[in-house]
Amino acid sequence: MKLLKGFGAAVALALLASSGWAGEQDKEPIKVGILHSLSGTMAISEVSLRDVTLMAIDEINATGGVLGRKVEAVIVDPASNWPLFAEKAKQLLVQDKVSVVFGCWTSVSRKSVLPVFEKENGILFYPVQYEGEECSRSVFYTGAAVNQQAGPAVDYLLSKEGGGKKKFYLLGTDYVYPRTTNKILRQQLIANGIPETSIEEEYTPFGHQDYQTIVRKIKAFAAGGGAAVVSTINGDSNVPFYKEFANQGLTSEKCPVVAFSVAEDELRGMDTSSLVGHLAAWNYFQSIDAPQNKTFVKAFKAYCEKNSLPGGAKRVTDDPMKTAYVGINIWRQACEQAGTTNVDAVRQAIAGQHFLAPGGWVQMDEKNHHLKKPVIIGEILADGQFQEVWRTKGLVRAEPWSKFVKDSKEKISDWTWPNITGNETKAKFEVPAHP
Amino acid sequence: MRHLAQCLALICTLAQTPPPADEFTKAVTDLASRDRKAQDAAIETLGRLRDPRALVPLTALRQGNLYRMGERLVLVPIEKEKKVFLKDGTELVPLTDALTGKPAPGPDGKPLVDLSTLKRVVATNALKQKIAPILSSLSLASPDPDARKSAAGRMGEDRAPESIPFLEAAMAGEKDRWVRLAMDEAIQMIQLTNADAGIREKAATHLGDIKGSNAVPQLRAMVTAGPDGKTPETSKAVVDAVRAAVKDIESHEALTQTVSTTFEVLSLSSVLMMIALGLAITFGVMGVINMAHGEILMIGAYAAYTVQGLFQSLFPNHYDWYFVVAIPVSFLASAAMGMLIERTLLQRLYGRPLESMLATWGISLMLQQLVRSFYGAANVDIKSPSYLTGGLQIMSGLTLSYNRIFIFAFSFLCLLGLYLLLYRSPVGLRIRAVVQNRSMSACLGVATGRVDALTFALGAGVAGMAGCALSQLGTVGPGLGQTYIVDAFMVVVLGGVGKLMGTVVAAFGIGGVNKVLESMIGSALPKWGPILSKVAVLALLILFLQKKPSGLFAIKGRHADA
Repeated sequence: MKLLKGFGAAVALALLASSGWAGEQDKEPIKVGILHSLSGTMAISEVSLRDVTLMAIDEINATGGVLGRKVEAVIVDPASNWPLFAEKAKQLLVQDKVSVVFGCWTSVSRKSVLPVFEKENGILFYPVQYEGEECSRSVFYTGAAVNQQAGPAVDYLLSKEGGGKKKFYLLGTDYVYPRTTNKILRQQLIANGIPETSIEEEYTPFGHQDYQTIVRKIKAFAAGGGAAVVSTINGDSNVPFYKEFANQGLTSEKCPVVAFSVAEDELRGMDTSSLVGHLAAWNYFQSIDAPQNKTFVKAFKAYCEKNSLPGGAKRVTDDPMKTAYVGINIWRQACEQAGTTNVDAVRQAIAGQHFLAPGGWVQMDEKNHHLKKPVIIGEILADGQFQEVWRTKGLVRAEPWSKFVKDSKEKISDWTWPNITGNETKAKFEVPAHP
Repeated sequence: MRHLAQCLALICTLAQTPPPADEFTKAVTDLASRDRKAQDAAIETLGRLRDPRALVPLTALRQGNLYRMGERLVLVPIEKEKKVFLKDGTELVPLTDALTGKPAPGPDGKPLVDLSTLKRVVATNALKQKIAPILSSLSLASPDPDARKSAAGRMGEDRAPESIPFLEAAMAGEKDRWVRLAMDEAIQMIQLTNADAGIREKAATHLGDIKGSNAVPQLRAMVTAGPDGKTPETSKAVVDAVRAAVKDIESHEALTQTVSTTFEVLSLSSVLMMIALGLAITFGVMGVINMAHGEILMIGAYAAYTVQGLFQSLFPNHYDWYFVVAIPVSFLASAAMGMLIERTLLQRLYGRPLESMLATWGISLMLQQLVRSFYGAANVDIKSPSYLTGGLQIMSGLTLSYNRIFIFAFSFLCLLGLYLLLYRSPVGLRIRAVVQNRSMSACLGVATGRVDALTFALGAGVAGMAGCALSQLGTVGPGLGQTYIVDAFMVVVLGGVGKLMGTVVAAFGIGGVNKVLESMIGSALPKWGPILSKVAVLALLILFLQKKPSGLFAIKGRHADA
């Protein structure tokens, strides 16, 4: 008996030791990867996403971490170089063994890392609006698909509140996002009874600076009223375009420009006087009047000031930053629900998560890996902020495969069980109810 | 913004005569009411009163900068420069009273108020639509000509017959010729919908006389046959008048297009010349393939940004003058950087074009990252001074923007300066001597090293001024240099090495071909204009260089290195 007792004690001790050891193992921080360009041409946009992700990690660690463990960021710099994105992604997944990666901005960088994430079985949270026509098992798209940004914006312009526009000038930079978006918008406009002759489409090379001829054409196009410009102009070409637009005497009242790549963070670097009154379509604005948004904005400004980042308290928040913030928080909730950071379990748990984002409740779709969210049209104010003028009723579900693209109509996007993994007999998690 | 400030000033003067505590005050106060009906009634009252004082609160309500502080209505400034950001992320703003236009201190008596304690007065879309016509009729009396013009344009598009008396009254007192024309056009556009055929005919003829291009779609619609073969316009006389008017306006538009294409060519070419002049000196004269040329432009632009920041904090009242100071400052900043690069690195690499190309490329990357870590990766915001915003209307439907006119003039001033320096001064003589025969000049006692450093600094300084000027046209960010470097090299290579004249002719050649092709291709293949014209220019350039490898203006004779 005594022996047995002793044996029992030894077993208990061993168990304790092992659990203690395991506990210590558990206390090791959870590594997450941040894959944003900190140098090169894309740094202009991506640095802010790194900042907001790091702020979110600070917040998570200050409120108990994930599964009782601290979160530690592994930051790599793919330097706006597309092949380097794939290399760095591989490094994060294979060498650093991170549980999840937050990153990418351009579609080409996402396409470049996609095979890596699919082969190494990783999770990528992609925070930027994009052209759709993709739905990977390994990626969660927290930015907007075309029907969550451009589509409703055109609906708005066609509506009575939006001025009942009848002529549309689709103007973009020449790459995949504008071309795909405009292809979809053209179909949508035709479906709404706008004749082909009232739709103009034009593209400029990257970094185009001379918009004289184009603005003159728009001016002739807009004569008589009822015209709007739908702009998918990217990056540095926006300033020369809007300046030329204003200097040739066109106003937002006569011919509004609705843009999909001009947000608060871009407006910070522009002379906004030529942009006042023009529109942008997003899913979030810094000016949204909600208590959780005020906290978010203030926390971000304080974070930048505390870490002496350039801009300090003058920094602003915008839609991609909000979606990056939503992404990491949804991942945290999913880990808590799954009780592990195991990629297969977390991937299933992410589906259907609700989160009270700075702009209001959002939900990760149960099936298609895209976020459901409201679409908001904002008018640009002189201080570089937006005033909300219109929003969709309720949340809009993403359609990654557009019904307006010929080959995509039939495609489905469903990553629920059993599509997601083959060796289980039933779905692992129930879809969480709305809190 | 300026317009609002002027209105505020107007209100201030009006407010000095004691306002009767009346319908007007009540209506403005009711704008912020939480009761939808009271808001509607307030708008109706303001529309009926047509009191010019309503312009400020109504504009603010539509723009979204009307706030409630307790029960008081206040305006938050829309310029971000006026806001103060505290370390903990709080945003402080100075306020003005929406009724009196006087500064409104916070409840604690301090001039700056925490924005998050205020409540924005939200206007629904339905409300905004009710505000719009009132605002346009009030804007007809605005001190800003552009606001008056766009108000008239809007009334013309709305075609509401009740606007005519207001337009006529405003037109009678209008001094600006182009605003008067816009008002006239608006009146005629409304008259086109009149039931009396005689008035319609007169309106159409008059529109043809004043070349009212805004009316063209409306005129065309009147005489375009519908599916039943009948035109919407039934009177034969009116149809004829409309057809004649459309023809008149169209021939005028052909003229406008010619003039504006010419201006576009001149403007693009002067931009190209501006960015290439500096390179023409460093590459053309010294033979250094300076890949960091774009980044030296960028330094000039950032110098302008820094000067702007200093003016904002030190002399906010003389803000518009920052640009005048920025031009010499950016010259000096870039020249200093050029001198530094030449003395530390390039002087060791003369005669080794490949190495110097790689070295300057490395420098360009370093400069970009330096700017990124110092100013941040985001673009920076350079505000154009008031004298460079807007444009000069020279004929109906054609406005030439001030910033482009400025760059055109400035580029020729720079050219003239460089010409005088290179061809009419002793320094220029030495520079040219070194270019033509370095060893002979050295034998004759020219300090070639010093001449090299000076020349490089001069080229860099000119590039810096170009960067400063371009900050008025485009974006200023760490990638600025990359945008312009290819164009700069194209101009210099085409122009030929060592001749200023070559740069000028090449800039105008490339600019002209580019713009003309853009228009031509654009009308044939609408989606492809700007892209194909760029491709075509590059292809033509390659073909040309096959014929004349040393460019348009090659130095003839026994060149030292040839």
